[in-house]
Amino acid sequence: MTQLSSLLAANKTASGLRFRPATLIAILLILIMSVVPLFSNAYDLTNYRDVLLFGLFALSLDIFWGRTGILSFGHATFFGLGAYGMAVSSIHFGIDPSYVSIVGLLVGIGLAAVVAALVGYFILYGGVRGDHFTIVTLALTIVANHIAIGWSKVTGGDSGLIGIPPFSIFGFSFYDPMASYYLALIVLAICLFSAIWILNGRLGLILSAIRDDEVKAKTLGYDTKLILLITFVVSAMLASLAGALYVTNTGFVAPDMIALLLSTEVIIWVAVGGSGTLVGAVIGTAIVWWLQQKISSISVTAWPIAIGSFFIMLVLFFPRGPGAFVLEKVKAFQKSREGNK
Amino acid sequence: MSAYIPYFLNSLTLISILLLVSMGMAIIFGLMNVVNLAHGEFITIGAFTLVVVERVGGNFWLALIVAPVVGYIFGLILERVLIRRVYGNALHALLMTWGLSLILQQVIQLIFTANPQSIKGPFPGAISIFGENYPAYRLFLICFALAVFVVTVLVFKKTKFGLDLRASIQSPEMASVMGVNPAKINAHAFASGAALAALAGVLLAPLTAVTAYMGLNYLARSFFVVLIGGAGSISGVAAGSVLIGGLETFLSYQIPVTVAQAAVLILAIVILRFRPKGILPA
Amino acid sequence: MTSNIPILTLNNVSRTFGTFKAVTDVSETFGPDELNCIIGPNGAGKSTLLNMICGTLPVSSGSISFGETAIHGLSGDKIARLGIARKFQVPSVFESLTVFENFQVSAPANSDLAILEEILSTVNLVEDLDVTASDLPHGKKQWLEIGMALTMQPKVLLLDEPTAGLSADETSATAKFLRGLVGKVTVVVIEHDMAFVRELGARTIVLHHGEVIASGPFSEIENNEFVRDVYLGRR
Repeated sequence: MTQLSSLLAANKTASGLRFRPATLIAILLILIMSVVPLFSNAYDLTNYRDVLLFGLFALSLDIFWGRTGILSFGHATFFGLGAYGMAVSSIHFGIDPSYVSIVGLLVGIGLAAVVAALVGYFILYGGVRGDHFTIVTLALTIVANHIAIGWSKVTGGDSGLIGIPPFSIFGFSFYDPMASYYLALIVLAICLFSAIWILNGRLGLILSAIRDDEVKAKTLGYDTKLILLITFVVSAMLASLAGALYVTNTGFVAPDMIALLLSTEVIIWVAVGGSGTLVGAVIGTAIVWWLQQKISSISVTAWPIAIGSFFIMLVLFFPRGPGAFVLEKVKAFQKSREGNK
Repeated sequence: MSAYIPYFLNSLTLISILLLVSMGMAIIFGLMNVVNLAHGEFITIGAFTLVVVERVGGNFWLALIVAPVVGYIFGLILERVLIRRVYGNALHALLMTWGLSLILQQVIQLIFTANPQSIKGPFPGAISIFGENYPAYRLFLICFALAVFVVTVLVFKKTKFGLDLRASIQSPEMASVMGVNPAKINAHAFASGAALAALAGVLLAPLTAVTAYMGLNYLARSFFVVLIGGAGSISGVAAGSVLIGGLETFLSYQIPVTVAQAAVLILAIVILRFRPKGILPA
Repeated sequence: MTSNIPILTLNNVSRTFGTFKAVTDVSETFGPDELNCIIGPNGAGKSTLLNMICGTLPVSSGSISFGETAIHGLSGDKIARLGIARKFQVPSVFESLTVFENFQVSAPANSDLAILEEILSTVNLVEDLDVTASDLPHGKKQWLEIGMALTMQPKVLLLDEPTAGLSADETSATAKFLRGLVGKVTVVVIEHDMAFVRELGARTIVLHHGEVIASGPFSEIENNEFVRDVYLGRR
């Protein structure tokens, strides 16, 4: 028995170790990003800052999709609710400028949480899973987009709203690109490491179990619907956090921040990085953003065609993600070399 | 009383439109279980077939015949080249057809520009019904949609093709033992769904702005018509259309149209909570 | 019989599917820490009965209580948390997790490692600790699932055909293992392998067309004319 105990103890550390590479990559990534401003001009820095926030958005989707296996086609809804929550409360309500950003942030995240909880309750408790869940969330983005365009008195309609102040707290304003960059980086780092820490623990195991076999997880005593609902709501809140911070940088909000194309772009970001890897979502966002700059500079219409082709290639050639595809090829190459020796 | 006639006819028009756009969806998604996010673009292709036919000197009636053929061939090729690789994997079907949808939208826009296309519909006039003038084309649309629906239901309930399709979906192995080729049946079923969507596109074109993105408006609604009606039953489409179309018309008399559409989709989500299998499950 | 206070009570439990009566008026009691066996030909309603006990299927009429608590109508996860564990007919384990992770998920949070390792060795999976469940052979998946049920430290253990797909040796090992549970946990086993049921030698309930046609020690059941006729297809 004592032998077995040490084996089990070793196993415990091993299962902790198993996630080390991703954690290491995450630490490395944040370190690199924290020295980037030393080598960048202000204009590039504002772009990188947007990438960090989109990375946070991608992370929010990966927490739900990557772990539960249920794809949400509606995450732009939550990003957009954060964005519009911030925009509408800072423009329409005449709130004291010293705490308007905090109010906007709370309104945006609160809206997303309420919508996610309501929609999540109706569909997850109704037993809607898999592709039907995806369709319902797709419709959710269409609904949100309709409202953003149609309710122009509040949302500014097609042209959106302009004049959102930079994020500020306790009288300190993050209007300087350097300051707003570090704000984005710190928020991303906190969310990323918390997500890694929480999902590598028991909750991550339970979510994987639900993904494998929900009925079985239920017979083990887990309230699977509630667990899925909470994960969905948390994921939506992170998406709205990204959206709310994003518009304090751009200064405006527009209906394309709550649109289907954004919902699908975020899927690509996660898929490129490898869904379920968390840090991969951030890296995927950066890679796709870089590609988008290159392709859009050739032609504006080329970008949607590139995304479309990528979706098809993803299914046909690397169904488990490009990262896994490259890794497999490298492994196969190493094997064949070993075989030759 | 007479005030209710246009209201009633408007409901019928919308119900007919939903019926038309959802029937293809009922075959591809409801029966074959393929989540096809490019369904909207099948409708768009139908509408642009009308644009092309009119440009080369044809008319609406010719397009009404040509569009389903174009849709059918397009669907057949698509099924053979791409869709058959994703049967049984909802996530892959979803990603692939969404990719297709994005590409088709851009290609159509590249060819025809982003401006709405001008088309000439038939029947410019109005007909008087119980003393109320109502556009003749809409009345035609209502009758035509009903006819298409009846024919489709009959094909799927009574013909050998319909029987073979239902058999090969329930058990491909059994069907092939019985001498049915499931691969062939699937290809034709998918193509029929595309043909129906293209036909809907022609019929919709005179009532809406014909652009590369027009199909997107109908994508979510046709999914919901099928989900609410009950996936797996063609007749459920009628129930779904009546419910969603009726509600939307009713609400759009009280609130802005976009908000009404949004409200109906939200109601549909609520209905799914209590009837996850739809109101008329197969 | 260890005690007379039943831990699980079925009272006129029925289940219909449309016009088909899958289970009709079953009333049975199961005492604490007893081994029980439910047998019957295919389609007799055994799995339906099990599904109703653990909340996967609602009852059409009748009541089920666990101790003093009525449990029909509760959701599956609540019933599980009361202490009713279940092993499915088709081995259902979490395929993408390792054996140990499967145990971690099934065991209550902060379980004692010593208990987990005891169970691991009971089900002979010590060496497969780090194997991903999808890579396990069928027999080991069955054991893994039984092990997972045990980590929940249940008061009632429901097993749906635990020997399906097992070799003769594995089957008799299972019988020995289940006999060893007498006095520790109430076990209800569904089976139609007669040799296995004979080896269990437990109180046996015979279902036929959804109704209980006999119950008692297996030796009595074995000599029951009516039961024999049912099994030989004469009724």
